[in-house]
Amino acid sequence: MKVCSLRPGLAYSCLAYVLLAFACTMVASPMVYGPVQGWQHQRGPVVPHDKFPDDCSLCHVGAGWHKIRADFEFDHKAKTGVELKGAHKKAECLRCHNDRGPVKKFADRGCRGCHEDWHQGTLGPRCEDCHEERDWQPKAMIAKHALTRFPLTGAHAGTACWRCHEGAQVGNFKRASTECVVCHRDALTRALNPNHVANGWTTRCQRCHSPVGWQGASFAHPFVLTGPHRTTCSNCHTTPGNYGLYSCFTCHAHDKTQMDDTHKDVTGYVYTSTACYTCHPGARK
Amino acid sequence: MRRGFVAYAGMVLALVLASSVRAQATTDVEVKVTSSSETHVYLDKGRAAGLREGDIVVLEPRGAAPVRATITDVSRTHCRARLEDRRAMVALGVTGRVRVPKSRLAKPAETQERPGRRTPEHPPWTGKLPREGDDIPLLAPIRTRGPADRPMRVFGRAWLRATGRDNRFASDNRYLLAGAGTESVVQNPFAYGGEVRFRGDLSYRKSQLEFVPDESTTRFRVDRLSYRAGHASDDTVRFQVGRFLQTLAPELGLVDGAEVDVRVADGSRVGVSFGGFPEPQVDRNSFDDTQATVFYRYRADVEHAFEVGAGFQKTWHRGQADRDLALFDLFWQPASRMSVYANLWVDYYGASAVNKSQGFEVTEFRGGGNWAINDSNGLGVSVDYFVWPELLREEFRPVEPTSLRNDHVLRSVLSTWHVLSDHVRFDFRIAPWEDQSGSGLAGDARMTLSNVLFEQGYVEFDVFKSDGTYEDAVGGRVTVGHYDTVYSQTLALELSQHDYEREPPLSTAFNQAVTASFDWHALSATDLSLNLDYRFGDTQDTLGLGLYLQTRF
Repeated sequence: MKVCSLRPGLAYSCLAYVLLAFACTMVASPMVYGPVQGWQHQRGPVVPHDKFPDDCSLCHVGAGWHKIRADFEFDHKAKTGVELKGAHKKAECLRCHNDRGPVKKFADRGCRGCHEDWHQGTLGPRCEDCHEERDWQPKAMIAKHALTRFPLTGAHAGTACWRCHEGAQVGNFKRASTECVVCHRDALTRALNPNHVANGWTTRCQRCHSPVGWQGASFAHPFVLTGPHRTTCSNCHTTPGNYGLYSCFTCHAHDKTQMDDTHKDVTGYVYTSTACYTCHPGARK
Repeated sequence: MRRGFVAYAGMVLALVLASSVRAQATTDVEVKVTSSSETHVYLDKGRAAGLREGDIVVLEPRGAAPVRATITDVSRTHCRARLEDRRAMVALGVTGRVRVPKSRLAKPAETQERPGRRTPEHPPWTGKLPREGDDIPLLAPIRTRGPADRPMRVFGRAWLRATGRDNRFASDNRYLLAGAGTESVVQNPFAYGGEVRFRGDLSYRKSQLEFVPDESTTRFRVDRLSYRAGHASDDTVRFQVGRFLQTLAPELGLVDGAEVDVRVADGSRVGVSFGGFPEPQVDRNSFDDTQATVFYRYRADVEHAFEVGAGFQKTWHRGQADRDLALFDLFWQPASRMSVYANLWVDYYGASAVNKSQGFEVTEFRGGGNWAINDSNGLGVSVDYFVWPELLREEFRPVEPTSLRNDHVLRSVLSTWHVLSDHVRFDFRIAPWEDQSGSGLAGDARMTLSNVLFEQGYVEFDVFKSDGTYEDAVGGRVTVGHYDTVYSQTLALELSQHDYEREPPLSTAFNQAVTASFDWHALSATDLSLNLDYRFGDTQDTLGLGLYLQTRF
């Protein structure tokens, strides 16, 4: 089943319709549906009354006892030991106390006893770790994310959830990989100066970058760049795009004949920059 | 001497007069117990006799000590009183006294129901009595209304939401998500019972990222649209058609199709489902993947909950066999304050698997338990294990072959809470993790002071440590909250230090965050939530705003 992808004009019309419906609902609902805690007599006598007071007028008025008294109040905590909070405090009694079975059976199973698990079981049964009963809106999620192996700072703290958890909008927070390239493959292919792919820098981005943003990369050069070595990369790395190759002879004008003579007793000596660096790390003598 | 006698006589006279006035100001109302429950008695007098909530009743059982009770509910003719001694046994017919001010009886207007609240006469009785001629209408049997007798009813909620984030650190990125939706249930739509469930959402999301073109999408998405018959756990047969979350095993996902489950014995149900697999992205495309599931669930009818489930799901991707998944779950309350849960996913890979060995592999495990030792102390533990499954279906981004072979995450959380008094509470959490590239330890400690600095409010002090894959963080947070019956608000300030795990030099940054939320519940069925999240410091500059408006109908 493919659900339509709407053109913007139609989409905004739909949005306007939903807004209008929403506004009408807000205005009309108190009149149409009456106060919360109201008794929906259409459901029939579904709540056992055997432990209720003998005098029906303590709670009911009207012909047929279909109406609850306007001043009816029920202290759920005092009279049952279970405190109702947030939205549950406003809920109609019969949403829980009805003919599906004893409430305790459902309440024993926690939230999932009554509510569908929007996250499809992927986040465990402890809904209260992220939600609260008032409006069920999760709050302070960046602080809660700090308990995972990927705390959110820098650019990640400013990123919408659905950029990493693609199913976030439908409650699916299945794991997102912490490998940078999984989300940032486009950034990797765009990184041409220096060319990351050509250099084989496709993993372990943390060697140069921090998770706060791609800018401001730093890296550990094989030797500390001081003095004349604090120069443009391309002075040594003369092969464009390949920082694995370098030449010492651009600056160090060592004559090959002289070097061959100097190293004639050195086993394995060859006249290449790589070999120079192997024996003279940090460009020391 | 004489002056002393006069003073003494004056005092005596004053006492006599006072007791006389008092005697005239109150009177005893005799009451009789008409019914009793475990903690309450019902009495034969009410508002008309001058009784009010809070009045003290002294019951006088024969041959036993008087029993005191406090009136909690009063009607015109009866009242209900809570026994002060719950162990007291009060038989029907026991009499007692309630001392009430005479002034209540002197004002007839107060002794009667206010206009408009008087109980009207009962209409002529039309119900069929069990035996004709018995004039006992109130003892007529209760007749449950069947689906055909009940009208259709609609309830649900509708919402508007908007969240935006603006990141201005290092690059300028903006995100916006806005939308409106409704979740509705139509009960008894065809007078056969059952219900139609709908959840739909029209959303607009936009991202403006540096270096890449802006992206925006507008989608109308249907998350539920189903007809379900049978809602009680012991209904003989239940079925559901449409787009729905599987009843016996929501873990196995949303289905466009049908399911039916049958009660095979007390507490045991067997169910099957067939259908397409809507993708979890906003598009909700379906039928690229199809599935068939068979599931068994046993739910014991005991005082404390015990249920186990086992199922098997076979999926196909564009007609090609894809996943063989076995799912097991457990939920158990060995005691009223203790619960244990477990959820195990096991995949079977055949010879066609490229990155997995042939055979069974545990793909996910989630388990744990909670134990409230007493009213003041409790602890919880959870363990979470995950490896990527090798699937033809790509729910989200493709998983690298190396990740399929090597990646795993094992995370556990130990949490405890301690209530020292009505005003002081401590919470501790420690969460070690381990994956293919390393391990770490996160945790936090929180102290909550309730109604200490001000009434209807709290102050929370948090310290936290996070040892992540790419950074370590340590910090503290102070949250101040205040609430009322119609609103609640919080304000939090966070300070943190971050060490980023770049190879040398290790960089350190200091960050701050200010978060605030405001929730308004002025209307009985409508809530408004606003929140703000501003993060700034050495390595962040981010502003987030959110709005959520919801009404229930």
